[in-house]
This record gives sequence, structure tokens and C-alpha cells, in this order.
Amino acid sequence: MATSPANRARTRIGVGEEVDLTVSPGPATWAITAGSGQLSPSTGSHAKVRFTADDAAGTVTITATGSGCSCTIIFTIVEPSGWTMIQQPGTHLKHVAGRPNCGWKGIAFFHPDDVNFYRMEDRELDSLSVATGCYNPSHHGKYHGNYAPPDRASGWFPMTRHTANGTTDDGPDEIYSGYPPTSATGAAPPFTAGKYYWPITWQWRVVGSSNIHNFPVVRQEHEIFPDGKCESRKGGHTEHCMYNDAASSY
Amino acid sequence: MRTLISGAAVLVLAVSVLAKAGIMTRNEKYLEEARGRAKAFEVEQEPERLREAYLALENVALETEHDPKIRTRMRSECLVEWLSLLQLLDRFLDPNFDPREVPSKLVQPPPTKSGVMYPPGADPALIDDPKARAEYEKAVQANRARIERYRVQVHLNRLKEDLPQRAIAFIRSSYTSSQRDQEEVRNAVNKIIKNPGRKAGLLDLLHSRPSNGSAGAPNAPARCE
Repeated sequence: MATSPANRARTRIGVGEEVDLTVSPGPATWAITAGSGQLSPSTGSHAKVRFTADDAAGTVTITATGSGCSCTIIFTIVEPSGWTMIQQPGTHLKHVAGRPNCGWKGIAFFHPDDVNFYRMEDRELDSLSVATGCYNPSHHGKYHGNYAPPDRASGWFPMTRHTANGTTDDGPDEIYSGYPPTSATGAAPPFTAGKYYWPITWQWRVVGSSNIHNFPVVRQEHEIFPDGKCESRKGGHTEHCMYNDAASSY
Repeated sequence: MRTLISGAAVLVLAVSVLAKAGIMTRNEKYLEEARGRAKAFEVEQEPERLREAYLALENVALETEHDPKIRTRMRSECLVEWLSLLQLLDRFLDPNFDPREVPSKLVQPPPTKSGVMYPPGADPALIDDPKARAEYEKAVQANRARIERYRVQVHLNRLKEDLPQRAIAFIRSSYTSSQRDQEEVRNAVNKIIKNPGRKAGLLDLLHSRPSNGSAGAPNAPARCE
């Protein structure tokens, strides 16, 4: 079992998670008597086997039958329900001086937090931006990742670690607004306001599986205010810069 | 005529496959499955296929082979397969891989001549300067390749912790310290394993075998023959 969360006796586990099971006195014949998943070895008699959870939520009962006795253990398999973002520790805001723009480097955490999704991978399905005000037309109707058809999906990112805040892939995601031409915003306050967003769909799968699942849609949003503030928002995290802030990079 | 020969060949092949399927034991099926998954890994470079290969191989139960000759042959074939999986793993592992170097999800494009800055991931066609566009396209392609390489290496590095332990467990439980057994393992390791470190580790295992001639497992030939 993954060593994070620290509870070694937990029976609530993430999709695809592996658990080493032992029986005493052993050896025993092992079987999944309710639910689904994989035991390895799945044949013969053993004191220890490894259970690998399937990629769907549910309850799994595993029975070990030894000489004259049997015992069972029940696991609850948990699917990821969603993700949030934080600014990657140690990074700074990105800003081009004199223009209303803002960027931050984010990393995503997948929830719930009480299980480990280390056998999960995530990717993004492409989407088209919706822009109004000064961002339209320059930033309207543009693909977020410009991923190749027919899938129009990014590459898969494996999870790298589990923390009290969830499981993360540690993949740096640059949440940067860019900026429209000066002719659309003006060169000084009051700037012409505007906003744009992508309805971002991320997907998950257990590594190697062909079953792909969608997370709930999360918006990546950028907004320019008349006073020259620019906000960039994604996954519950927001950062902002003023147009006249000093230039900076991540 | 050509069709007839082709038809006959297909028929012979089908009969052969059916006959083989009819006499194939459960252990042979697991062994075949392991070989198939290993081949699939080589083609797809999907690390999960390598994991599936050793999970299938682990299902081979030598103690269920009651004919000593068949059991010995099966044991040898399993040894070759375990070592081949280790060799495959070593072949595809990048020794310079650093898991802390996580690739960015997207690449920042350059600003346009018309004063627009697009966000990371923008379509290269939006970049009006041909030279800047070409450089951006190249950076996007390089990043996509990095993402795929990174993914494969993360998973292979996880298998690096698991697969060798299981291969060693197989050798420990299936081979004794008898000269014949040690010779078989040594020859197979020398023939299949290319990585010097891996080879030395496996050969050291032989030197650390118990000297009582028993591998301590129900499928050890010394006890069964």
C-alpha cells in the first residue's frame, strides 16, 4: 500500500491502488468474492498476495481460505472527484510591464485527499476560448492547447506524490493571460475592460487503461479591469498584477 | 493455385494453433501471456504492458507441474522470461532521467508584431513572424516529446523498484544451491542480462544462496525430483 496517507490499516483506497495482503496462518487460497480488481498471483496458495484496485468506485471483498478457516477484508475503492490548483511554491508572477497582463505557475491537486491516486494519469481535452470586451476578437475562439486532432487532447501526466492536500502530478501549468493589442485596451487607465475563459475539461485514467473519465469542467479565466488590474484564475486560485507593476517572470 | 496454397497454409496453421491450445497447460498460457505482454511493451512502449507481463509470469505455479521433466523445463522458461523482462526494463530505462524535471504542460509563444501576446499553448499560425513561429513550433514539438518520455520514465522507474524484487523472489524460491541449479542461473544471467550492475547483483545472489541445497519452496526441484 502507498505509504501516504500514513494510515497503513486503511481500507479506503484510490482507483488502481495496490495493496499487499498477508494472512496468518498462511498460506491460503485467495479470491475476490465480491466486486472487481486483480490479485497477483491469482493462482495457487500463498501467504502474501497483491491486490490492485480497478478503475471504478465500489466495494471489493477479498477472501483468504486456509486450512480449516477463512477470513475476509473489504475495501472501498474511490474515484477522483475533481481538482484544484495552487501557485507552485518558489515561483513568481509573470508580468510584462506597461500592459494589463498577469501569469502564475500552478500545479494541480486531485481530490479526495484521504486516498492516493499514484496509479492515475491526467490530461486536458482542448477547448475554445470565449472572449468579451477588449479580448475580443484577439483572444476569442482560440484553442487552449492546440492539441492535434482527432483526440485534441494533451499528453498524459502521471501522478508524482500524495500530500495532505491531495495527489499531484507536479506538472507546471502556466496560467498566463497574454494581452490584446493596445488599440483594443488603450495605453493607460481607464483601460477597456474585457474577459475571456476556457471551459477546461481534464480527464483521468488508471495507467494503461483504455477507460477514460472526465473531471467536472473548470474555467481558466483572465480579466482586465479599467484601472489596469489583470486577474488570472484557475482551479480555485487567483493572482493579479497591475499594468504598471515591474516586469517579472516565473 | 496461389489461393489454394494460401488456404492450405491457413488451415495447417489453424489446426496447429488449435492443437497447441488443446494441450496448453494453465502454466504455459501464463507464460505465453507474459511473452505477449513483453512484446507489446516493446512495440507500444506502454510501461503497463511490462507490469502485466510480470503479473502473468507470477501466476505460473511450478508446484502444479507433477512431471519432473516438464517442471524443470517450465522453470527454465520462467527463468529466461524473468531475466528477459529485467533486461527489457534496463534497456528502456534512461539512466539520466531526473523525476524532478517535470515538463511544462504548455509552451509560451512569442509576442506578435501586431502587439498581441497570446497565452501558452496558442496555435503557431497566430504568430505572424515566420522565424519566431518556426522556433515556437519546434519548442511545442520538443515539449510534447518530453512529456511522453517523462511519462514512460516515471512508470518504468516505479517498475524498477518492483520487478527486480519479484524476479529475485522467483530465483530464490525456485532454484537451490546445487551446482546444477546455480550453473543454470549463472548461464542464463550471463546470456540475457547486459547491464553490468544488474548482472553483478544477480550473480551475487547466487553466492548468497543457502548451502543446504534447499530453496525452501514447494516447487524446488531438489525436493520434488
